[in-house]
Amino acid sequence: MTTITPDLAHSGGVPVSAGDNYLTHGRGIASWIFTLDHKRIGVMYLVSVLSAFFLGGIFAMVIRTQLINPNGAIFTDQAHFRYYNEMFTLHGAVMIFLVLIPGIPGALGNFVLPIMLGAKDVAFPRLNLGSYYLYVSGALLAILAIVVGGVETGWTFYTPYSVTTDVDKLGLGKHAVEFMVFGVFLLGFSSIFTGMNFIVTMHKLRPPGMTWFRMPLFLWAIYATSIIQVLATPVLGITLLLLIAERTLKVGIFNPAYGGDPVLFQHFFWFYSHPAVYIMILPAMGIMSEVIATFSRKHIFGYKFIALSSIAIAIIGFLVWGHHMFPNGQSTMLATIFSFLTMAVAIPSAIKVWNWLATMYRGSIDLKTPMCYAMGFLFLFAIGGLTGVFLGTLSVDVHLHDTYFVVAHFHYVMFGGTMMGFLAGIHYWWPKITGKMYNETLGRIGCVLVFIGFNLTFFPQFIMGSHGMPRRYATYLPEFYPYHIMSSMGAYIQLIGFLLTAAYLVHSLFKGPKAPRNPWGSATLEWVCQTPPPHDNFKTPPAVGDPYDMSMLVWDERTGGYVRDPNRQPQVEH
Amino acid sequence: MTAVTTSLSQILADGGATFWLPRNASNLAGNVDIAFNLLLYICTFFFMVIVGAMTFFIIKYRRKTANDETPLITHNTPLEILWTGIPLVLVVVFFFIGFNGYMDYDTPASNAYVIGVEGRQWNFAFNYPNGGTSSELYVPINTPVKLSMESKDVLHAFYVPVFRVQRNLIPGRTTELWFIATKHSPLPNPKTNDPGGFPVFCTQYCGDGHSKMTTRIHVLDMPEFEAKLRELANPFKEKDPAGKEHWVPYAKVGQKFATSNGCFSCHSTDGSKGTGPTWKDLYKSEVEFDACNVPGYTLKKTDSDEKWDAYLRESIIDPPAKVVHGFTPQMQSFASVFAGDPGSQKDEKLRALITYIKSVGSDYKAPEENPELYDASKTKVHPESVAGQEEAKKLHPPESGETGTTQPAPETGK
Amino acid sequence: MTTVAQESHEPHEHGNEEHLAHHWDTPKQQFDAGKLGIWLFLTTEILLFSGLFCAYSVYRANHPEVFEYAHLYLNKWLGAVNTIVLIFSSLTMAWGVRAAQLGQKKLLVTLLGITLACGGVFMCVKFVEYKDKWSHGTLWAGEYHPHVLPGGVTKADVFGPGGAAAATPTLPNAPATQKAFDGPIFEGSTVARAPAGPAGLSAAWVEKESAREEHLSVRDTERPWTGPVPKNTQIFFSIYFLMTGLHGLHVLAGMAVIGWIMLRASRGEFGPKYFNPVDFVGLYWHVVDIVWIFLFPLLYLIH
Repeated sequence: MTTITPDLAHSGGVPVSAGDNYLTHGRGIASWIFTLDHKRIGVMYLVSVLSAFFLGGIFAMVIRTQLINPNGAIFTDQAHFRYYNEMFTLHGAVMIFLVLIPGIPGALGNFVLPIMLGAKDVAFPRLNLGSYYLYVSGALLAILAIVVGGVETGWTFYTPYSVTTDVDKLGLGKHAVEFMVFGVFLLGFSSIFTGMNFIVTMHKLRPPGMTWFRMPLFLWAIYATSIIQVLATPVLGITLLLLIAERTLKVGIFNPAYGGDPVLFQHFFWFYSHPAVYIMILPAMGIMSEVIATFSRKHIFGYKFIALSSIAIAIIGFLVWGHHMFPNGQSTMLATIFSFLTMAVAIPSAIKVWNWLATMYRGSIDLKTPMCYAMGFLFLFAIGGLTGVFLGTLSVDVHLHDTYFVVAHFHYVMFGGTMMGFLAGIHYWWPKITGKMYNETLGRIGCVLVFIGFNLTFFPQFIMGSHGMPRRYATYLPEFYPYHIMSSMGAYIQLIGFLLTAAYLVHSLFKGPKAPRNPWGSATLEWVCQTPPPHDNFKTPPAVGDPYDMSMLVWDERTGGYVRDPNRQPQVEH
Repeated sequence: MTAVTTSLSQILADGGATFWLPRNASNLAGNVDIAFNLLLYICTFFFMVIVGAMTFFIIKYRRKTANDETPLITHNTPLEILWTGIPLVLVVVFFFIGFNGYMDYDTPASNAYVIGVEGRQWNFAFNYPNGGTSSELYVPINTPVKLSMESKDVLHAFYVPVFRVQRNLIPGRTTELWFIATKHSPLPNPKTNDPGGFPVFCTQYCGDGHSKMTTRIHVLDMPEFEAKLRELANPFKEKDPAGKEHWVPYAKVGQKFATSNGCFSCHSTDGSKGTGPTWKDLYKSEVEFDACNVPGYTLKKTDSDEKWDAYLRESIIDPPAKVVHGFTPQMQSFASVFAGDPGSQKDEKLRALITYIKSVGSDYKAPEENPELYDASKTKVHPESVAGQEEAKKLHPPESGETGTTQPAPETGK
Repeated sequence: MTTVAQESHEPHEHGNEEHLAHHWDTPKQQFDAGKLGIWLFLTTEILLFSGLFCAYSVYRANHPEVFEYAHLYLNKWLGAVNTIVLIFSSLTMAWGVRAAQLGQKKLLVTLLGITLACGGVFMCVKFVEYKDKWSHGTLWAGEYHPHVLPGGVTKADVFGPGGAAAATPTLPNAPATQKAFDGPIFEGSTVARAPAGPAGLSAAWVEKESAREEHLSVRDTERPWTGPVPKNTQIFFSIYFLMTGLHGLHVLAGMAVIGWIMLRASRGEFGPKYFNPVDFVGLYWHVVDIVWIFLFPLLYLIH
C-alpha cells in the first residue's frame, strides 16, 4: 500500500472548505438527537457529565456545610439526619455513576478515539447513540428517585439496610431505592455498550500501518478500560437486579430474615466496584501520557511498559475486591490473599508514574493549563496511590476501615486522579472540539485554586481518619472539629475554582480566539485533521508514524500553532 | 478560633497521642502503629522523590523556544528494574507486617473473658456473663477480652480507635473481636458532662441514628471491674454516697433500661418527633392507630391502668401488633430482653421500664417513687422467690447481698 | 489525494452495498466487526448469569441438605422436555444460518419459524411448572408457604387425621423461662405482672412466631424424604425462580428478535452477501441454550 499523504497540504492551518465541520454539518435539534456522529455524541456526553458533576458538587457542598458544626450546622436532630444521609448517598452515586465512570470514555473517548485512530467513526454508531440514551435514562431515573423520596442507603447499597429501608413508606417513596438501582442498571449497560464499541473499533478500524504498538497510549488506556467495562459491569447488573428482586418480591438472597447472606451482597457488589475504580483511573492515566509527552515535547519513556501496565492493572484489578471487606466477615484466608494481590496492583501504577517523570527529564516543559493539571495529577495521585498501600495492609486497614482516611484516599485517587485527568483532557482537546482557545492565565488560576482547595479539603481528612473519625457521620465529637473546619473551607475554595473554570470555558465558546489545527505540537493523529473536525474525520486514512515523535512539528507564528515541516526527518533511536 | 485551640489542646492532652494517631491502649495497637509509621515514613519519602523530581524538572527543563529539540530516550533497563523491584520489595514487606498483625487480631486468646454485644439500630448493648447488661462497655485491664457480637437488624460495626480494632456485626451471624486493654481509661466527670472512657463508634452505616450509635469503653482494674459487674447484675440496687445499699425507684431503674436498650434513639422524652412516638405525656393520652391486630381497638385517656399496661407491654414485646398513626413499623421486638415469666428479672425489668414510660412528662405518680418505701427495712420480698421463702421463715429484712443467680467469676487469664 | 467512491449517497446494488455502513471499507470487515461485537455482548450475558451461578454455589456448598430436599419438588421430566426442545431449536437455528448463507429464503423462514415455536413450547412448559409451584405455595423466600411436601405428599398424609398438632412449634427467639428473680424486689409497683404463658408471652404472639417456622417430620420411610425438613428451604426456590426467571426473560427476548429476523427474511433481505443479523441472533440463541443446559442438571438432577 503506498503511503497516502494525509491532508497536510493544509497544515498551514488554512481550512479546506470554509467552515464545514461536524458542528455545522446538519442543523437543528433533530440532527443532534438522532446523530450517529461520534463527535456529536461525545459533546452531548460532555455536557451531561459536566452537569452531573455540578449536581454532585452541590451535594458535596451540603455535606461540608453540615459538618462545619460538630452537632450539625444544617440538620441538627436525628429526625433530619436522613437528609444528610441522602446527601452523601447521592453525592457518591452521582459522582461515580454519572461522572467518573462514563466521563472520560464517554465524553473524551467518544470524540477523540476514532480520530486519534485515523478512522471515520466507531464500529457501531447506532449502539453509540444507544449508549448515550441509556445514560440519559439512567440519569433521569436517578433524578426521579431523588424526587419521589430520596435514597439514603449509601452509594454501596449494603444489605440488609438497603432491602428494608423505606419499604413501609407511602406512595412512590417506597420505590425510590428501586428507581435509583434500576437507573444504575441502565447506566451499567451504557457503560458496557461503550466498552464493546471501543474494543471492536480498535480491533477492526485501525488504518494501514497502525499496529497495536503504534497506537497512542490514550487508546491503550481506553482499550484496557473497555475490557473492564465489558467483563465487570454485568456482575453489577445482576447484583442490582437481585437487589430490586429483594425489595419488591422478597427473594431473600441477601436478607438473613429469609435465610440469605448479607456478606454475599458485598462480594457481588465489590467484584464490579473495584474494577470500576480502574475504569475511572485508566483513561485519566492515558490522558497523562498524552499531555506529559506533548508538553515536554519529548517522546514518552517506556511506551510498551505503560501500555502493558494498563492491561496488567485491568487484569489484577479483578482479583482484589475483598480489600473493601477486611473486617466485614470474610475468612482470614481470603483476606490474606486479597491483601497480597492488592499490593501487586500498586506496582504497575507506580511504574507509570516513574515513566512519566522520566519523560519530563531533559524535556522542554511548557506549563500550559493541561500540563498544570497533569502536574496536579502527579502530586495528588501520588498521595492517593500511596495511601492505598496503607489500606491494603491488613492490620492497618482494620484500624482505618470506614474512617475518613478511606474517604480522603478515594477522593485523592478519584478526584486528584480521574478528575484532574479529565480536566487536563478537556483543556487539551478543547481547541479541537470547539475550535476555540480559552484564556491561558485564567486556566492556570483555576487549576491552582482547585488544587489548593482540594488539598485543604482532603488532607486533614487523613489525619482525622487515623484518629478514628468514622465516615457517614452527620455529627461528630468535638475533638475532630479543627479538621472538619479546614476541610469545609477547602470545599468552598474548590467551588470558586470550578466556577471560574466553567466561566472562562463558556466564555471561550463565544469570544475565544480561533484555534489553530495543532496548538500544542502533538504528533497524534487527531491534530492532523481540521479544527473542528469535519463530519467524517478523514477523507483518506492518514499516514501513521510514531505518535510521540514531535521533532517534525515546528511553530508557525502566522496561525499560532504547530505545523509539520516536510524537511525534517523522524527521530531515530540510537 | 477558641473552639479550634480547645479541640487541638484536647487532642494533645490525650496522653500518648501523636499527630497521626490517638493513644495506643491495647495489645493489638503496637503492630498497627509500627506498620502505620513505617508506611508513613516510606510513603512520604517516595512522595518527596516524585514531587521533588517533578518540581526540579519543571524548573530546570522549562521550554526555551517553541521548537526545542529533545533527546529520544525510550527506555533504560537498569533504571526500570530498579524502580519496579524496590517498590515490589517494599509492598511485600508491608504485606507481611500487616498479615502478622491481622493474624493476631483474628486469633482470640483461648482464655479470653467473653462479653456479648448486641447491636441494634441505634445502640450497643453489652451482656456480661453474670447476667448484667449495660450500654457502655466495661472491661478489666490487662485481661484478654473477647466480644461475641451479633446484630439484631442491619449491619453495624464496633470500632475502638485507641485499640485499633473494629469488626462488623452481622445479623444472623456471630462475629468475634478480641483485645487486651493495656491502659486505664479516663474517669467520667459528671460535673463537666464528661462520659469518661475511650470512644467507641459504629462504623457501618445503619440509618438515621448511625452518627449517634456511639458509646464508651471503660478499662478498669479487676476489683473495680468485678464491683461494676455486681452492680450491673442487679440494677435494682444502688449504693448511696454513704455506702448504704438501697432499692432504686422503678421509674429510675426503668430509665436505665431505656438507655441501655437504646430506646431514646427513637423515642424522645421532650415531645419532639423521632422514629417512634414520643413518651412525653404518652400515658393516658389519646392514641390513634394506623394498623392494629384487634379490630376496633382504641386507647383513650379514660382507659384503665390494666389496659394501658397491657398496651405498653405488647408494644415492647410485639411492636408490629399495633402501629401508632404517623409512624412506620420499624421497631424490633425486645422479647429477648424483656419477656420473662412472672417474677423473673426480665419481667421486673419490663415492669420498671413501663413505670418509667408512664412517668415521662405526665403527672403520673408511681407509688414506688415514694422515698419512704425505699428504706430497706420496709422493702418486701417477692413471696415466690427463694429468698422470699427464707424471708417468710426468718422475718428479717434482706441482706444487701448478691443476687441469687450464680454466674462464673470473670476469668483473669494471661 | 484520492477519494474512494464508497459514500452511502451513491446508488447501491441490491443486497450488498446497501447494508455497508459508511465507515467500513468492505462487507467482510463489517461482518468481522459485528461478530466480535456479538461475542463481546454474549460474554457480558454469561457474566450476568455467573452471579446467579455463584450464589447457587455458595448456598449449595453451605447448605447441601436444602438443595437435596427442595429439588424433589421439581419435575425432572418436564425439565428434560425443555432441554430437548431447546437443543432442537438450536439445531434449527444453526441450519437457518446455513440457509441464509445459501440464499434459501423459504427454508430460512421455515426454520426460523420452527425455532420460534420451540421457544414457545419452552415457555409453555415453564408456565406449567410455575403454575404448579404457585398452587403448592413453593415460591421464593418472601412468599414461601408450602402446603405440600415433595412428590405431592400432604401434611394430612404425614400427621394423619389428627392434624398438625403433633409437631410442637418452637419459637425461634424464645426467651428461656426464668426462675423467679431470686432476690428481693419491690412489691409496690402497680404495673401488672407478665401474663401466664411461655416466658410471659401472650398466646397470640406465640402462635404468630411459631407459624413462621413449622417443623414437619416425615415418619414414613417410604416417602422420598425422611427426617425433618431442613430449615431455610425457601432459599432453593429463590434461586430457582431467579435463575429460571432470568433465563426465561432471555428466551422471550430471543423469540422477539427471531420474530423480527423472520420478518426481514420473508422480505428477502438476507443472502450470501449479507446474513449478519441471522448469524448473530443465532449465536445469541445458542448461548441461551447453553445456559439452560447448565441450569437443568444443577436444579433438577441433584443427587
